[in-house]
Amino acid sequence: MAIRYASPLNRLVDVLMRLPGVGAKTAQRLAFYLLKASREEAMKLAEAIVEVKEKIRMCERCHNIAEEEQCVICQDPTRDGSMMCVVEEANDLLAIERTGTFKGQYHVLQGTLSPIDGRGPDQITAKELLERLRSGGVKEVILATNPNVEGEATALYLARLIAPLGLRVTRIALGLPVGGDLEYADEVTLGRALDGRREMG
Amino acid sequence: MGLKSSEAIVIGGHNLGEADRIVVLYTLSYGKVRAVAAGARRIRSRFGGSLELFSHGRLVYFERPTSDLHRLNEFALCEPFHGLRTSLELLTAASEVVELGGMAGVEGEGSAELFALILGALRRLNNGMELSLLLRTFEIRMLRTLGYLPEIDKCVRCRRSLPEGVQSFGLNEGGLLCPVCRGGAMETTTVSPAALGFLREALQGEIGSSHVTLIPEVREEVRYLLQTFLEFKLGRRIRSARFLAGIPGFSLDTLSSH
Repeated sequence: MAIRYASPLNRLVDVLMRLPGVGAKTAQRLAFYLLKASREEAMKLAEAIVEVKEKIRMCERCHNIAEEEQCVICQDPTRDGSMMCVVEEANDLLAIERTGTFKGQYHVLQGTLSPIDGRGPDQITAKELLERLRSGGVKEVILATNPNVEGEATALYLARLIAPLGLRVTRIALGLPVGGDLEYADEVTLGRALDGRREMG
Repeated sequence: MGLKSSEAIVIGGHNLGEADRIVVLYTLSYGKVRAVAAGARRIRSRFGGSLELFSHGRLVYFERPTSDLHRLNEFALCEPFHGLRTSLELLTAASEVVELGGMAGVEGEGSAELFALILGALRRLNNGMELSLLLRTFEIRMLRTLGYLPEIDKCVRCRRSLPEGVQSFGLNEGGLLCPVCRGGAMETTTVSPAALGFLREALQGEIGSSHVTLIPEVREEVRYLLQTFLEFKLGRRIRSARFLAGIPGFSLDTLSSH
């Protein structure tokens, strides 16, 4: 049974509850915090939300989130133009950026293929990817879609789409997490880790 | 109520919240089961890669009496069916198998026949068999399991024998119609003698092992007839069956599975 507060507060709780990972209790806590907070602090949050909706758009080259026509990565002249990493969502791009080991370009697909849900290539930015690759410069394409059925379907499709261009196409490795314990690894992951083993010494 | 356990195949799923996943399974004992796997999307989840589509294993779940969304406790993998993810064609064919399984399956009511049908088709795909022939066999067996096996020897309505030549198939009637009866039928599709010959052979025995080779037109006709009939009976479109049609360069007819 939902508790009813004064109606503006009620509305705030309702919208907060729609945020991911926020349930009734958390929404209530956040709403009461904002109620008690100074006017400036509350306005800062409100303005930040408005700003994000008004100023953030899609990079016209790689479909990452951007403030201008192109995102910071596409504008950066020090990035290696011969490598391109293809990811599903902008979140995945950020995850790869955090590793600090990849210095090339990105392409954000904005989705995945799924035979069972009927999601085809026209629902991802595959056409744009192909155009970018055709315009030259890229020597290697790294397919970094998620290691699940949808991600795998997407990678298989892209690999064949790109094949006629004669570029090097690679898929990110599947295997054990660092700091993990072999004993507790599931057989699928462990099997893939064995398949993807590499030379030492 | 309480913990239940059964052999199961993962036939679907979607993400829930931050890191959870709703997994749809077809179980041997309880039919279709939908269950929440808490934290399944985390890299170090205890489920690991075991809950991926097509996985066959032993399911333990906690049945919630008030909801049809249960809690997934454990899934011990028997067959991960890796091979099904090595080409988009194979993945699409396997998707059709589990999608049709999900459309035909009923929650709370296990069918050993349907379970064996799904598992058998996945195994044959994994072992490398001609894709479109395998799917047609699967579709025919699915119709048989559901009790919708079409009548193709006599008119399904008046039981009279049929004239030679191109026949008319009534979707609602579930079989061929003679020239007199077809007048009143709402939805019909035509069947050529060649397609009918294939269907007769298929209905009689194991077409998985038969030597039938079909010319592309007949192959397409049989596919259309079987899928349209299944969609009509199950009341929903088979999404995976249409998936490759819109993608240039990919077709289920050009490749066998290995």
